[in-house]
Amino acid sequence: MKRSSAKLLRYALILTILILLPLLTTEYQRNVLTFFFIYATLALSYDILGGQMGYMNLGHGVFYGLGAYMFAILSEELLVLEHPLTVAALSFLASGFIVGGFGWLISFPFFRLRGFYFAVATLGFISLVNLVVSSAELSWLTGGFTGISMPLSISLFSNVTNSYYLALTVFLVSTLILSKIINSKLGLALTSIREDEDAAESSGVDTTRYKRLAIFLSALLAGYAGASYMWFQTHTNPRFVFSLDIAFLPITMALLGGTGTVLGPIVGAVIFTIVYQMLLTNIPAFTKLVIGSVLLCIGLAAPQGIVGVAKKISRKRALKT
Amino acid sequence: MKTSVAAVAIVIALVIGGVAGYFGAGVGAATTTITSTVGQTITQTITSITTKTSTVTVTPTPAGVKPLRIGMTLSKDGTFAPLTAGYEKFNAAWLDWVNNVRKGIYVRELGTAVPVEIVWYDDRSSADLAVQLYTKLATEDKVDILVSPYSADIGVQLIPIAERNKVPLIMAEASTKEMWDKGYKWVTTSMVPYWEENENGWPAQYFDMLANKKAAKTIAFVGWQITWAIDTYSSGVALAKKAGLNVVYEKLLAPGTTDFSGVIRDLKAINPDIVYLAMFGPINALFIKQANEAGFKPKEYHVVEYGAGFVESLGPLAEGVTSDIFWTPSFRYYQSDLLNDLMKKAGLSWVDWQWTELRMIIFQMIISAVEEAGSLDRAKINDALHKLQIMTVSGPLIIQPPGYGTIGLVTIQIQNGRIQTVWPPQIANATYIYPS
Amino acid sequence: MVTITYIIENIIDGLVLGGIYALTALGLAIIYRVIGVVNLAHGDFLMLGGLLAYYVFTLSGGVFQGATPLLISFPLIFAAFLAFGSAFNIGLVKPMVKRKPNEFLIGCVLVTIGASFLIEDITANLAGTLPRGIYLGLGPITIGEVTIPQFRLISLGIVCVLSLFFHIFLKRSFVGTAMRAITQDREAAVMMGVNVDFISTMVFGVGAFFSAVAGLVYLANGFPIQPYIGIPLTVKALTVIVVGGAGSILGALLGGIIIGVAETLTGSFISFYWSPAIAIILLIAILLLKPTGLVAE
Repeated sequence: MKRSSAKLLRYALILTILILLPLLTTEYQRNVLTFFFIYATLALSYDILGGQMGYMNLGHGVFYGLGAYMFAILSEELLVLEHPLTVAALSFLASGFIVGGFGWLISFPFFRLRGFYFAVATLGFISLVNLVVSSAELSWLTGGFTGISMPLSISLFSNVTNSYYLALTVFLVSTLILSKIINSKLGLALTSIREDEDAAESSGVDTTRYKRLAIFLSALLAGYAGASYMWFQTHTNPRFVFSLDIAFLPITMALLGGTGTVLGPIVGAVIFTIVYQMLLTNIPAFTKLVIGSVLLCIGLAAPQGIVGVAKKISRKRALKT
Repeated sequence: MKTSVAAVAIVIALVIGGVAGYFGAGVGAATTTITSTVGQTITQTITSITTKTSTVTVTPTPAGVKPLRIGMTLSKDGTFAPLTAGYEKFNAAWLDWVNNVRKGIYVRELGTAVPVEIVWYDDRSSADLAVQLYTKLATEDKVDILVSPYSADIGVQLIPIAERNKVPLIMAEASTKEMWDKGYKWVTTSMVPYWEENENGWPAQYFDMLANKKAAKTIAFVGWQITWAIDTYSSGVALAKKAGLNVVYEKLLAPGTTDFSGVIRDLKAINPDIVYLAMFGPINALFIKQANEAGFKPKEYHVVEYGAGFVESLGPLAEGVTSDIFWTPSFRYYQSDLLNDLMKKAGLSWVDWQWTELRMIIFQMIISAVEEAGSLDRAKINDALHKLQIMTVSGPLIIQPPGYGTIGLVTIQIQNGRIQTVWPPQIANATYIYPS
Repeated sequence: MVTITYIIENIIDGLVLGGIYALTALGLAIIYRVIGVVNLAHGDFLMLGGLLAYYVFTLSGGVFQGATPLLISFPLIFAAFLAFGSAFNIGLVKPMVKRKPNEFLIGCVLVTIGASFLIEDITANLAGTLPRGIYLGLGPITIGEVTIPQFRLISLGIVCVLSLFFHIFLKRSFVGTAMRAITQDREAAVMMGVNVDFISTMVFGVGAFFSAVAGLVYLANGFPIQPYIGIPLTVKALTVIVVGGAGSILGALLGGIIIGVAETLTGSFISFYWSPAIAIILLIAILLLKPTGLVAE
């Protein structure tokens, strides 16, 4: 009893700090933190498929970009109806679900593939989406290669502080969902799929249903990450959100931090936003070198990522005492 | 054992990062002995293009004078690194000149000249990183002026930061229509709106020359469908038609395309006089090589950018290629010698780093704006920037109401492995050769 | 004007382009097939090979003509990359082989991405970021009415020779048989006395060598070498080997050619804008029909 209430207290404390941070930080720090929440959501949502289910979705960035685009497009379309903020709220909420639905839809073709092939196919998919969104044919909807912006009447309201809170909310929701998944029937099913999908199938687990639910959630959360990004930046273009860099970002963060856990992707996101910024503003020439070396060391020493290493160390220490 | 090694390695790496950051410096130093600033007179048909300050005797800087801080990012990694990594050295060379030779910039309000500092970071060609870094520059590093990175795409993302924090932002090589038609108040650039299909267009001088020479008849256009490239492409198509040329082929390719076999076969069949390539420098070079290997050679290639290593990697194929540029060493407007000198000091060849003059112009803009404003106040500097009328290395610059400028491009041609200015005649140092 | 000649020309264009793609994928295919490592730093190996070839070419520029400097760089590249690949394997991959397949994959991804970052950053710092290209000055070859860029044809020849050679090597030679044994059943191979570590290291070295040769050919075809071309090239190579069948070396050849032809035909007959899309559409379509690629494992 005591342990769980202590845990609860710890979480409440962290939550309070996160909520109060905007009052204690500079605009720059809030800026970086907002990116951190967005990237962390990206990593957490990736890990539902990548870590829990074992399907390396290298096209996860598609959900992110689509979330950003959906938010902008919907806001534009609904603008005639209501007060800008109502429009923004409605479009925001809707965009996540639309992306979730899109994820569910593409699972039909893509879930026929496994492992390495799934990874390569989804990687290719992100480049395809990039081409489609940038195309002249679709530019009436997507703005083509020049990108897309939030309508002016809505973007007026966006600032670093409310972007911070929006991204924080999405992040907290993602953390909650991921931890709920891990301890639930869905989580169990996903783990069994990851360990041995055929065995799970033959022992009666409805793998298809769980897989589709997983990708829906994964896409939903990534979509909200993208929509938060769009609220924050008010403008983006396909080369930013459908790039190969974004493709490799979630997997790198999740693997580095510790795939399969809740803390892992968060730690990975810390490294790729906060730590990266610190390195970049102080020893720019060596940033990639340091990050690359960290990746190498973790890869060699601990496939469980930084969180795994930390656990091992604490376990060793516990054994020694 | 292995995990402990990894843990230790990470800790070491982070500690190194932290320690290096503590001792490392990313900011140019500035010395502060001042004698005087000098007024400039220019002989051109422009009204009142001078820096308003005249000879002033100034007392030595009082201690603790706030320097003028310029903030920017350069890409030392990623897609834009080939184009901007060299500016680090150019910045250093310019800082050395402005602080030690020119002895700073005179600020009327302070009654003294102030040294200049450049605070810069590496944005790794990433828009997200650039946004975070420019926020830092505007808020924590408290710069007085911001200069954009190379990419127009990233530049667009930075405008809200400038507007929100009320910092003047000068666009360097980046310019696109979206920056000037939304009523932004804090953004300026030296360049003409080169997407326009008139005398401001990117290849305006080139087609002026062709209209004059009346040599070529047909022209083919090949470009990438991406920011900037497409501006140079569309304005080219329109201007070609206005110049009386027959546009026989127009193809926009997906950005990133590096295989042109299909296009080359088409062109072989059509056989245009001129092939106009609207892609990035190295890719234009690639096209020319592939075409030659496939047995196609038009009478002339016009490239919108030639870029680093163009002449070297093409060898004899580069002969006769024309292009557009904002400055060449044959320009004699103002401080061309200084520009040459600074580039030499920085170890940059103007052939490889062909947009450095834009950086020089920005520095000229900054000096004039600060002296004109007489203050380090951001709003006053912004105001001065928007009202700027000065002479630059590339000619007269008058900032227009939307914020863009009047610096346009001239036509060059590669002759005998060297880049010659061929049009307009007032500044040409060689004659246009056609067919090449 | 769509004539038979036009169609033939396009197909030939596609073939030779496919040759370059196939060569790009060969090194990746070898390493994946035999040791099961997904080398995400593959494109960077290619870049390094191209860079080395560039330096040999420009430094010996005055002395030798035409393509000779490239021939000289060949043995240099062979030695350098065999060593490099072997070192890479010993240092970075071997420590992970005892793991479960899941963890091994995670380890590979992390290590190779990390290596990619390192290679790119070090190269950018040492060699600078300016693009480096060369031009061989070889004119086209004309067969009847059709003209073909000469070096592209040579590249196609190179990739056919190399893949055929490696294929035969796998089937006939002792070392090759050992390699196949490792792929089929590692444990059994060990028990049969195969020095798995040594073979794996050699394979990595050979794979690295092939990637570097691809870089050489890439450079010789006029493409510019920059430190950051690694990731897009790796992605292309992955697409090629999956389309062709990731289990086979000849699959890389087939995949490359199919993609090359598809891209060229799409470009000429549909639209140049969409030609990069066809590779991905093919990839997804083929995987849906045949989840392990065209050539059976």
